[in-house]
Amino acid sequence: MNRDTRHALPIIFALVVAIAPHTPGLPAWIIVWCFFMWGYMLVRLKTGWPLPGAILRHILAVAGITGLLVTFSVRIEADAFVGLMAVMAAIKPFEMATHRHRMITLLLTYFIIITSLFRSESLWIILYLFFSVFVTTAALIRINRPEGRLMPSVFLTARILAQAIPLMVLLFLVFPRLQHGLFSMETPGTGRSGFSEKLGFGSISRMTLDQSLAFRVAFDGALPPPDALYWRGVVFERFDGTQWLPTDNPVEISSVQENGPGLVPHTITLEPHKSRRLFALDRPVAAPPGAELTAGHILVSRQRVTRKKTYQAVSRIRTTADDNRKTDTLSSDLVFTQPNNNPKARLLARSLAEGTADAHGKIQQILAYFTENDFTYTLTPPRLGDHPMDEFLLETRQGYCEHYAGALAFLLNVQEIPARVVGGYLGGELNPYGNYLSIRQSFAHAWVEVYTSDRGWVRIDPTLAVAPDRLEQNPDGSFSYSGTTRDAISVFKKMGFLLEAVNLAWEAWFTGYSFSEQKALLQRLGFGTSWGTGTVFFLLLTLSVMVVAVFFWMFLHRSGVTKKDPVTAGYALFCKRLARIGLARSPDQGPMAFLLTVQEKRPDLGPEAAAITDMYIRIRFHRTCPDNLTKQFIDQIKQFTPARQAEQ
Amino acid sequence: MIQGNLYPMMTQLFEKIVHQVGSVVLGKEPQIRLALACIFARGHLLIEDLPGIGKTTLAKVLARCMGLKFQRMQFTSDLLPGDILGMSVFDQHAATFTFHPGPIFTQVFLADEINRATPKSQSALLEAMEEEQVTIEGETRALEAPFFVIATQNPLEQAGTFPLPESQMDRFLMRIHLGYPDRKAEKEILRGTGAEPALAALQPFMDKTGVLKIQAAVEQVHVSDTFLAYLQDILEFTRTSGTFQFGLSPRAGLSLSRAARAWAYLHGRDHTLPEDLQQMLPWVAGHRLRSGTDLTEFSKDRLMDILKKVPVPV
Repeated sequence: MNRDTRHALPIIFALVVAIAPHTPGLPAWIIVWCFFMWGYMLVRLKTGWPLPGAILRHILAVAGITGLLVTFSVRIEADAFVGLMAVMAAIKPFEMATHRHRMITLLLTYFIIITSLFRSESLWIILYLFFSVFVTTAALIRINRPEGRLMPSVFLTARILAQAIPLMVLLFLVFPRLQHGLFSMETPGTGRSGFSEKLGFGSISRMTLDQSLAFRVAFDGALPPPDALYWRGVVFERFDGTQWLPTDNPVEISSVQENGPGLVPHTITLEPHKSRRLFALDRPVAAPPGAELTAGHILVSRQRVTRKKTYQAVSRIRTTADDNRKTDTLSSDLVFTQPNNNPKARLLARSLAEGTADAHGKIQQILAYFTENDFTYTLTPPRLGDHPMDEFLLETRQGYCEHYAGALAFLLNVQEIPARVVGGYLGGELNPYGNYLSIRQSFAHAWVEVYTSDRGWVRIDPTLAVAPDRLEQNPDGSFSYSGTTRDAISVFKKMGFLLEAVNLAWEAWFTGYSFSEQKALLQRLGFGTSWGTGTVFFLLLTLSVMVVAVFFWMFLHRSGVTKKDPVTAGYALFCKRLARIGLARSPDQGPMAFLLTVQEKRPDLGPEAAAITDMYIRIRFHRTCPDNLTKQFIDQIKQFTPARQAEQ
Repeated sequence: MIQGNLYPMMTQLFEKIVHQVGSVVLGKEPQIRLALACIFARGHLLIEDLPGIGKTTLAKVLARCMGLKFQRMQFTSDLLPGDILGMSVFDQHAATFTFHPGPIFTQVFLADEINRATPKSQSALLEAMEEEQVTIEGETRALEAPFFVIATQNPLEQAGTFPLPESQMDRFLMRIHLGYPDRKAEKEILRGTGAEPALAALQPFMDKTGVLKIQAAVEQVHVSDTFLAYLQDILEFTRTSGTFQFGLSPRAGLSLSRAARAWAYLHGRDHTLPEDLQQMLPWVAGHRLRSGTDLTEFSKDRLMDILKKVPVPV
């Protein structure tokens, strides 16, 4: 193994390990860029292809940054930051000729490792980061000690990291924690749209293939029954002829602080979805801090949910007529004047309303129309045209929940009964180990609420008329927690549940260890304080100044820094100029050995380098030397400007 | 190119001796160079190797080339100091004690398998090495300069041996290994009729005055402050890095300096360079340093890796 291989292999390995967790989130071109550059470095170890020169390296750097600007424009976000590091780390190995550059590359690697925390703080990522830090530290040891066997370096790495663990725990527990996190940036790449702002035919059935998590719910007490697992998110009150739209100006209503039976407190951990919508069990009665409750009984956060958000919600799952009368209002802008399309559906609505006077009877008529007329429930309904209600109700008769909910609300509105479509999720997958429910995007659902003056808004789910087992079985085939189906869960699924529960417990502890918990811990240890953010910043500043002062003091007292003598400085300059063209003197090389290296690699520089080395040796190692030799030596070095390429 | 090349003649002579010795002891040129440097630095040489590798031949050839007297002695466990140093025997005719000098009274003394002798006999030899004189029956007798001991140790057989303690290893300027000859050299050895005829045909290049002159000239080789700084950095490193059980002693430092001077001189220079020190390090320091963790010796390459961490002062 030659010198290049000994250095390049560990560094590139460490870089690959560090970048790996970013591969799902970074743009593909950055990944290709990285692996192309590193691949070239590895291949050239065998083939001896040339390294790109300074000009090409600069072109690559400019190209990389241009690519970043095109991809991210000028947004300052975590992905752009990680992308910049990846692009630079890809071309950095091209200038690893000197030890200093190799050290810088590895320091950069540590930064790339820490940025993985932008993406996820899950237990698996943390464990992987430990591995990655181990690899990078081993590489660091390796480039400082390239000879010798591998195992002692590995053991040394293990020892160093083991020694670092107590410090790590200490810093985690007592290092002043900022209340909003050090990097208050968006969680990159994970924000999903989830529910769109409009409900058209097909907008929910499109989500049935999306297995990603929408949110998790833990209940303080017993789980509610499966038929109550309606997760309310958005209310659509207006139909524009082809799709349903939410209220334009949601009115905030005060939270109803009520106690008593029927209230279900629960904790929701919502995945980022980049809108302000919060979900809660139908119907929430109180808004968590930082959110408000609107007239449609919808929770709306004051900020967009760009990071994982955990909040407490209180819902009343069995609303009584009395409750509803107290709170429910019929907003005045709920108008039944709809665009004049879907004529056949309107006719149908009127014909169904004949003979029944009360709202309840009319609803039953419509539901009966669904069950008696061979309507089917399908995940892949046919596309509908300009008069979607006509087509669905009279021709295709295949639909998903939004078809049935939309159609029911439409028909009721035509019959001048106030009705609206509510969007959210239905069901949930119970993790038996963590005792929480996972709600995936594919569980998205829509149902109808009907207003009657005596009972307020009442939930009616027309989908159940067509597909009664939707309550028991989630669209992805998983089962809601009730019933005897749990035995049917496969071993893999159980394993998955267990791992998920372990990870969730970790995240709750790790990300939940916040400023206030830290304060509580310090208080328990007898450091009771009432530090505010300002004090913490002041402490951090003091600490930083102290650290800088210590380093500065160490820098001043470094051996040999006290005023270099001109010969030392001259020879150092000579070495520096040669290092710049790729002929670095390793610290253990004496002047003659270095001269031999230079003569071997660049015969054209031989005579000049020999003359300088000769003078240096005469000044440094001979018994006597002429007085003016030092000046001559310095002059000669000043004129020594080696070209990168040998002259032809 | 390098000025101050005051002894170009020396370089040529050195190469000639190496060539000449190498024609008898085949394939061992690096070791021959080291042995010559050892002699000219007034040091003694320890060869650690198996029997039949050519230690005796090397010693004989060196002695012959430099016109020095040669004695070889096989050390055994029943060897007494008198057997080495000599003793007085009563002469009945003259009615006096007459001193019969032992084999030590020579110029190149080969002590074969020194670790088989008892510590008492070993120390008799070691005193002679250090002082260049022997004390027998209260009378001190100087040994004839130049005096050069080549001792051999068999590293494998440990039963019934008395390994030299570290303090005594320190008396040897260098410790080298001969090792098996390479395939080409061994072919020549196998084809030939043994070293004896070639040895008989050798012409000495110099006599003992020549050796003494060179030894004196080696002492005149200049060691600069920068060189000494490097040497001291290395000594310091062996003492403080924790890699070694014990650091190098001042005597070891002196040995390094002497060996480096001889090496510089043999390469035609009147001043030492850091490179001379690096060349001599494994052979001068190798038997004086043990690992701080498991007390074993380091291989030559490993030792150099460690000591190369000490940067050359600029």
